Amino acid sequence: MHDLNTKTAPLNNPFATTRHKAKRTEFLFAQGLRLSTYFVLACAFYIFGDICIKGAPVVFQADFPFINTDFFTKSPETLVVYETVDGEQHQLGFKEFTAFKEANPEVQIVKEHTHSYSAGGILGPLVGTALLTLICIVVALFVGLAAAVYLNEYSGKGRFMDTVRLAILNLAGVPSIVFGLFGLGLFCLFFPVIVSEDQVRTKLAFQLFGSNEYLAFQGWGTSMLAGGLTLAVMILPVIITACEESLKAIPQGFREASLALGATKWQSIRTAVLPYAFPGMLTASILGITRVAGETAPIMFTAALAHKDKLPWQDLGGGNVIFKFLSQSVQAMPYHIYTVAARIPQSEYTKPMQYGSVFVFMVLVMILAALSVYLRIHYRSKLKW
Amino acid sequence: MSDSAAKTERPKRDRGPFPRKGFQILGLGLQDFIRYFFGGNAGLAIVVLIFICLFLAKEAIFFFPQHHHEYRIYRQAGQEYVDLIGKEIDTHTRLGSTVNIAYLAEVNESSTEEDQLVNALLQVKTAVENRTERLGERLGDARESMEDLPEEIAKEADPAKKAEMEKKLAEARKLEQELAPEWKSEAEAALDDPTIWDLDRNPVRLNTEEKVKIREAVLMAEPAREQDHPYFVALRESSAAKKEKARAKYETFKATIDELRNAVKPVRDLHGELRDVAMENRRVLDKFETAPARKKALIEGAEATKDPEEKARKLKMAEAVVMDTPDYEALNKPIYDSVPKYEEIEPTFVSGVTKAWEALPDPKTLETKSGREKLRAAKASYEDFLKSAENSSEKIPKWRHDKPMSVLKTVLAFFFGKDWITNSSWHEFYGLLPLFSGSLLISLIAIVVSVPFSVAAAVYVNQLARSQEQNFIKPALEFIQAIPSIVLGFFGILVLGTALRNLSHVEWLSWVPGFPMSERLNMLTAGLLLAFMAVPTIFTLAEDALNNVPRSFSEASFALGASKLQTIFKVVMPTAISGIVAAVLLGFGRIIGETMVVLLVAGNKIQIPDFTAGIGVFTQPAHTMTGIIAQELGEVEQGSLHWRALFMVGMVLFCISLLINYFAQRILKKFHHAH
Amino acid sequence: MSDTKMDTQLPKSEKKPESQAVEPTGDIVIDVDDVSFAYDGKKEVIRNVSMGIRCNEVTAFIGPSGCGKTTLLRCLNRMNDLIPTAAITNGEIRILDTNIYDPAVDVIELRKHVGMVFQKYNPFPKSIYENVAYGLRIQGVRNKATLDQAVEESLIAAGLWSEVKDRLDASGLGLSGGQQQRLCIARTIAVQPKIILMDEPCSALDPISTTKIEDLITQLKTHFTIVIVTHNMQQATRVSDKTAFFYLGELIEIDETTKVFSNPSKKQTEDYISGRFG
Repeated sequence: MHDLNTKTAPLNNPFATTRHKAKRTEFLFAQGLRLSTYFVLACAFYIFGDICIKGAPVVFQADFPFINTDFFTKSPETLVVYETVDGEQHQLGFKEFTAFKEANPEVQIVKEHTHSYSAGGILGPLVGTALLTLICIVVALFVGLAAAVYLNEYSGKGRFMDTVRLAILNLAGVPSIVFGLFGLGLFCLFFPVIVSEDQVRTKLAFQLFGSNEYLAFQGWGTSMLAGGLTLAVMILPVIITACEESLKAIPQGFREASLALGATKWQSIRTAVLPYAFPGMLTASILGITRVAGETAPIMFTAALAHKDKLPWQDLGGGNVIFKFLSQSVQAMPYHIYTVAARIPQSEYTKPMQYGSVFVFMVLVMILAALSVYLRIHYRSKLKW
Repeated sequence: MSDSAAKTERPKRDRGPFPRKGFQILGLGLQDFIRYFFGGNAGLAIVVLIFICLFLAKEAIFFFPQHHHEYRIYRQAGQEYVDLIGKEIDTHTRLGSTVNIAYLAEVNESSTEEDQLVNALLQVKTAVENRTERLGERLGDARESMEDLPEEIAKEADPAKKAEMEKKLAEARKLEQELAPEWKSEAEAALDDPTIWDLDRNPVRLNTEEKVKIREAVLMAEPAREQDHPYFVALRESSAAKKEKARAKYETFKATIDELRNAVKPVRDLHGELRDVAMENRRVLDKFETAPARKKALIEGAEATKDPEEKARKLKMAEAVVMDTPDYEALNKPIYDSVPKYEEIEPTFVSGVTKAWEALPDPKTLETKSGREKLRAAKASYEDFLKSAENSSEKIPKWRHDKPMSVLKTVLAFFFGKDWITNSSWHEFYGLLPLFSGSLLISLIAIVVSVPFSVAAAVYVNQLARSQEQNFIKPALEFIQAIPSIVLGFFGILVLGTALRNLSHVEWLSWVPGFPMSERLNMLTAGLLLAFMAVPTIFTLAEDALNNVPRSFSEASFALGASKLQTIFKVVMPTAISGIVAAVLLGFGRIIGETMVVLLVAGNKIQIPDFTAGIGVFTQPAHTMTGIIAQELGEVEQGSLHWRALFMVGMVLFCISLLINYFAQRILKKFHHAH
Repeated sequence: MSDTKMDTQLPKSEKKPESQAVEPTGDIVIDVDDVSFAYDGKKEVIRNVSMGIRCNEVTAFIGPSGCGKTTLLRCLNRMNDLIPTAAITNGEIRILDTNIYDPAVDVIELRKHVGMVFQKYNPFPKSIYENVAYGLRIQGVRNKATLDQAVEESLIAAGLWSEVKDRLDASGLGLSGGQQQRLCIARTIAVQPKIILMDEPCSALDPISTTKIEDLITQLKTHFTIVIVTHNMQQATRVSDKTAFFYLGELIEIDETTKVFSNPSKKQTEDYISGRFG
């Protein structure tokens, strides 16, 4: 017995390779594919890096509390750059500047430039995006989960099912801007509201019994609710598919065991299926939030506006507070970025606001994405039946 | 399962040993209601899809009648006639400017070297001035007062003021003494900074000697005491001389161009006159068309007001609204009268142009490359002109304002119209072609760039990578998918656009078609970003397709002595190909529907790309279907023709996406059936 | 080396068997020497197996599920290489006097000599013709006439020719199960291996198809050395010359089939073939 390492003499090795050239081609090919894969990742890395390098200095600072708190506690406003007689340059937000001028009328101001949206912070857009996302995900998760339960637990085969599946597939492919148009047409311009007579602007209005109020099909206008619902409709296919996947992963045995013990169908679903599908649903909703938070096109006409002084809950007055709250338009991060990146004149002074907003926004979205990836991997390894 | 059985075999009277329990309404139990509740939610997907169709259609359907109506007025007002002449003039103008550009290239490029150096100097100088702005201003002010004050002191009679002024003068002198060296050192510091030598839009590479000269010249140009560096004075003079020489050489060329351009004059004058007539006609017609609506509004308003005086006033105004049908024939009389005049001047116009065209020098004789190219390209413009002249002279005598406008024509005018002109006082054109071609070209770039990368990545990850590598690449690509499109658009507008343009100005890349790019934001920039966006989508679906190839296929192939590469190409890829095609289709659907990136980065210029540029067409700016909706919908009046046109564009997008989806799903279905 | 090249390029009939390279019946072509194997590098699923498999014989591997017989079979043409952590932990396997786990061995060359037929028939989603020609094509055979001839001979050898000769362009997936498995065998013999490994080739087939495959195996042994894994002891008695019984990763005994089934030398073998376990 010779030991494993002794080389068989090449002469009588019938399996010696005859394909040196082919082997090299194979190696080069694999490395080429690998290179192009990593090239894509490198591009992504470069984009992240560029935004982080230019955005982080806006958000962080060297001294306590290390975070630029103004950036997170103020809403965007106009930046005034002015020069006093002694040639010194100052920057102030518009409100502060007006206050400063009133307080110090003696100060002579030589030059004064304004740069819109370049001062203040991003509190308004952050709050707006959070609210829109919240409305969207509550609605979408409710409907999406119910639809998924039906598709996976109740439905048999048939025409209705085929149509539903086809509709879901097609809905997933519709461009987001078309959802924007749809939301504008349905929620902003058509959905019914209850208004008093003098506010009726449409012929499609019906007087409510025994009151002066009308049910008018004139839409909610540009509003948080309209935007949230538009986003919910857009994300529905994603949520349904993800929820269905997580329901499918639950072994048939669970249901059968429960049914065999005399539980009704709904009891089985409630006690033996849904609890175990929870991790999957959580992942689905985070995935949904990630997608929705970044969308601009659907909220452009349905919910977003560029400038707003007050936060949504300020100054609601009396009356139907909830409706008033939901029917106001809001600022939103993606729309804010669109505004500062493309709709205002560019200058050195707008750069910090641009990069700061993009940096914060991207970090938030990436944290969500990371969370959904983590949860999926975590639960996949943990829940094995 | 059990409940459906129970439903069908529900006993009538005898409830047997296992009766149904719980409440029932109309024979439906709680379980049925739960079932219908869930089913209803699932059905919502269909409802939403129907609603999308409905609400797009609701706005879009009325587009065509309204569009047709506008076109009818366009004809009745004689605008159509005027535009027939206008088109001829437009093609002529284009021809003239193309030829002129060739001429200018000849003249200007004769002194390119000098001009580039002078330009470089100017750029560096401006940059230095910007950096030393405040110091420079103060120094300049001090020097100005040093110059002005002595005179004023001489004039001043009041000794007190005189003394004060002298004090100021002394101060200014002192300040000047102080600031001058400071300025100099700051300027030198600025010149030492290498970034200041990054010249924009100027590919010239400066050698050391030139840099030294520029440095000297910049330092000589002190605030308020500018002096020209003799080297650059010489350069300017030499440039001017060379240009003069070139001008002299091409004197006949220039004369021919002028002749060519001037031939249009009579036609243009006629066009101008008629345009005013048609414009006035349009005003009259518009007024007539809206008269009933205005009258109605006034009467309604009168009824609503309580104040009798106001009421009377409004009723009177309503009374005054003229409802008479205008006399179209009379309105268009000046237009019909112009036909003989047109027929008289048209032949001289065309023959004048033709004569001048033939007198132009042979492109081969020109010295610069761009001049030769432009002159050659002018041939197409010339043919265009001839065609359009023929078309106009044929149609003009036959034109009638009362010829009925065909519906088909206005429908086609939307789908195949070459202009998208809104907010015009003349006539609004809604043609899809510029937007559609922009969308299509950008998507084409994106798909061509992204398919190789994503399919390569899918093959690599699925077939070749080790599992640790897979576990890294897949989530990483998921992260790319999570990047919001607005962030990518932002990156494109601030970083990629500039970077690409700078790259395109690198000399040894000038062979690339379309380089150097003149615009920072163009189809290429947008296409590349979209390609990046599409990679995760296509990758995921393609990887899925590869994963679905049964393991036994590759095992069989290996057992027959096939190598990895052979197995991939001969067994795995052919089996997965339909899945990959579906992935590419779905990726295409995603790209063509993407809004924010193209809105920010595509350049937003509404025009049909100029395909004569060959592959270089990709570096032109364009507008897209998605972009136009996002950009314009917020600013138009609800229910107007423009608003409806935008919904119509949305409808087209919706149909395209459904179509793509339909084919992709069909292919996928076949693919899954096969395995 | 030169003759292996010729093998791949010449159609079957004109070339070699009975010549230099091939040993006369009875010589040991596969020499398994004290082999242990683990999928994860630690837990051995085969322990210290040694055996010799002779030329132009049919050797059957039998034993209860999980006894390592399929694993050993897949070691013989290194199909286990496809599993990243799996490896031989001890001993060596010599085929044609060459240690097949030697770095100088090209696994692809090895597999050209050691073909395999799988448990579940797995023709490619290509035509019948292309399925059979596949192995030759990947070896660079372009000549249409050569391919035609090789396809015909292989299909004849696999007993399928008369059934499919009129529809060579039809998809291989359209055949019945037994035909598909015979197509896979034809595909394997088309590349002229010296050894054919069969991993329970009939387990997915009905009895009639099984009989056809068994007949085929008996015919094929004049040209090839065949190793077959089977669950079915009757099958082993019908087709094999030698039978090896495995139990819990160890080779219990290997001998003439008739001897193993009539007069086993080990207790476990007897228990197994008499149906007391397994």
